[in-house]
Amino acid sequence: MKTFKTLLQCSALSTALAVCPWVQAQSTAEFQRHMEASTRNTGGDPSLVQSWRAFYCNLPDDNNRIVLEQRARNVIRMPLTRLFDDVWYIGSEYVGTYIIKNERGFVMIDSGNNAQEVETYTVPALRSLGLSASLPLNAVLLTHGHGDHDGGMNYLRTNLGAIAYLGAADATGKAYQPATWVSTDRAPKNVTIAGVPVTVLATPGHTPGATAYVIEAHDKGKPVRLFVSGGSSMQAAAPLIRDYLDSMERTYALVKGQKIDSASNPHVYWDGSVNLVKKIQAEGLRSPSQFIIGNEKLLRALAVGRECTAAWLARQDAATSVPVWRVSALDFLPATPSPNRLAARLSNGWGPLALQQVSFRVNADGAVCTATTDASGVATCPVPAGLRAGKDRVTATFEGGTGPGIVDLGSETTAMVDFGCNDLLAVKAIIGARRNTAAYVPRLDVDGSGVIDIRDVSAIARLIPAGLSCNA
Amino acid sequence: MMMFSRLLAASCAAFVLSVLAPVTAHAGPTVTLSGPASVTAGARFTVDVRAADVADLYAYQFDLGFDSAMFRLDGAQEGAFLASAGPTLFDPGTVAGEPGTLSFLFATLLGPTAGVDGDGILATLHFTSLAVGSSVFELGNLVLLDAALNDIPATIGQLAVTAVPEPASWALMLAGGALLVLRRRHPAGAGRVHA
Repeated sequence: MKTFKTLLQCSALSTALAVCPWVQAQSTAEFQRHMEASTRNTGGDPSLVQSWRAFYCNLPDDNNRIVLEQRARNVIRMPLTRLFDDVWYIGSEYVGTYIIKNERGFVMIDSGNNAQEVETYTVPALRSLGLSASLPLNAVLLTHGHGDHDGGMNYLRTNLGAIAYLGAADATGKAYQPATWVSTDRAPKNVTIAGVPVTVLATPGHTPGATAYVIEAHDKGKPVRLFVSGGSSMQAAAPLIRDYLDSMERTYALVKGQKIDSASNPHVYWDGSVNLVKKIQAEGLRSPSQFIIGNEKLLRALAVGRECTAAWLARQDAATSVPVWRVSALDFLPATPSPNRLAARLSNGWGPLALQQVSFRVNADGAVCTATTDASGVATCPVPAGLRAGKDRVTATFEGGTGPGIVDLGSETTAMVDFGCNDLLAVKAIIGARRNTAAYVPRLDVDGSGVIDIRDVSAIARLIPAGLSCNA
Repeated sequence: MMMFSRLLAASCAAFVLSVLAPVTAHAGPTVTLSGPASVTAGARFTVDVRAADVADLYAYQFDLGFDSAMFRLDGAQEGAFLASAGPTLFDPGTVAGEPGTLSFLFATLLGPTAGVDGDGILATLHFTSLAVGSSVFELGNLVLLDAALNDIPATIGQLAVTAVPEPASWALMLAGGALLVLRRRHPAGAGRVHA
């Protein structure tokens, strides 16, 4: 009866939800569920904790101070830095632009803060890369219509003749007369801009016209896809947060579908790109580029951001409830896949995932076996006949699942068939690494002690077939 | 005079430490350090890490602390003990991080084989003495594992090493000592009348 009365009161006070204890409690629980997920989904990866988690969650964390601190770094210039064969960054430690070069000239993503900055830094940088009448700046793809992203566009249009592209919802009153993307069309669009293959994705939320891009670049001649985010900070109004949440979820789907493994943001601090740029400056551009972080990590990062967004939505709109996204990790057991054993463990930030289906496929079109995970999250399949070490690759896949208020995201892992030598040398290389440090690899911490030591090395060494020396 | 005192102290320490080292062995598995109690400054020397009374030893790991102002670690190599049972994976560890600490030197047998029994050398460490003085080499973070990957409890020892001056320095020190004795027997001002 008391509950019924409370429900009645809740209905009666529907215009003042914030004062209804029941809704408040629901909202708090919803908020906390998503905040917890945002942390657990990092998997303890320090680069995700310190950048993606910190900045996407700055508002629900009541920690907007860290964004303001980064804004002050707009005065610290970062020189032109090559990220891939044909992509460069130039700007500050706060915000900047990406330059793509091809045989027809240049395409930029965002135009910088203002005309003076463009004239002083960007144009000389373009000239150093070959800007000329035969290699002009053809286009500028704007992520959104805020001044720190399109402030240099008038200059670039007037002086270099570049065409601006901008989400239509941000385009009103823009003097540089942009060509526009349809902001209400939420499906990704594949286009070619001045010879550069681009996937365009409307990602409203930061602004109504925010637009993300996927650029096809090259890393030592190999095609790679670079995702560039359309906006960073969330707004306070619930409808815009809902848009932001929807944009995060569609971005996740795009990154998963295209298997994108590198990301950047014009606000280079937001996703840790600033650290990758500095790393390249310090140690030179490596192969693969330091900007390639892998599809699995990028998906994990986006899921972290999605949970921060869901938490912020719960804070701003007590009546909203969306399921928690849980990132799953699928890892081959140490020294597998081998010609003797085929087993993988499925887990997430909450623990092992039992009673889930995991499929194993040999090469792209070989044998497939599906197994159910046990209480430890381990799925084991019989080894197909003729599995060859050093020649065959095995892919394990978890398609994902749902439960009450929960979405377990799918995951996948691929490895070369090996007798365990690869894992043995890998664990040797990270001896001493501790949990929550960059070098630490959870699947190689066989005893789960949080530190890689001789117990982990020997646990893998025991699985090496007799007589094999691993050339160690 | 100060130099003389320091050399004298180092000599005394060398005598005392040579009496004390190596540390007395205990019953049960032990891991000890064996090497010279006294070395000449600037000389190279080796320290053996030796296991005794072990059964079914499959793998080991240890750190080694030493005074990096006095000694420089030039390298480490695997001893013959573990490898007598089959192929091994050895890592000489790293000196990065804490100055004067060799971290995570390890070796393990490979495959489903039994470990080794008895006594033998696990690793040999190569050092250069950098300065005159005394220091203790200490094992830490020691893990011994049997073939079932269970811990083997072990007593660990330490090694005290004193670096003494080169022979030329000794000659100089003795000459200086003799001069001092002479000065005491025949003070410079003897026989003078002070006003």
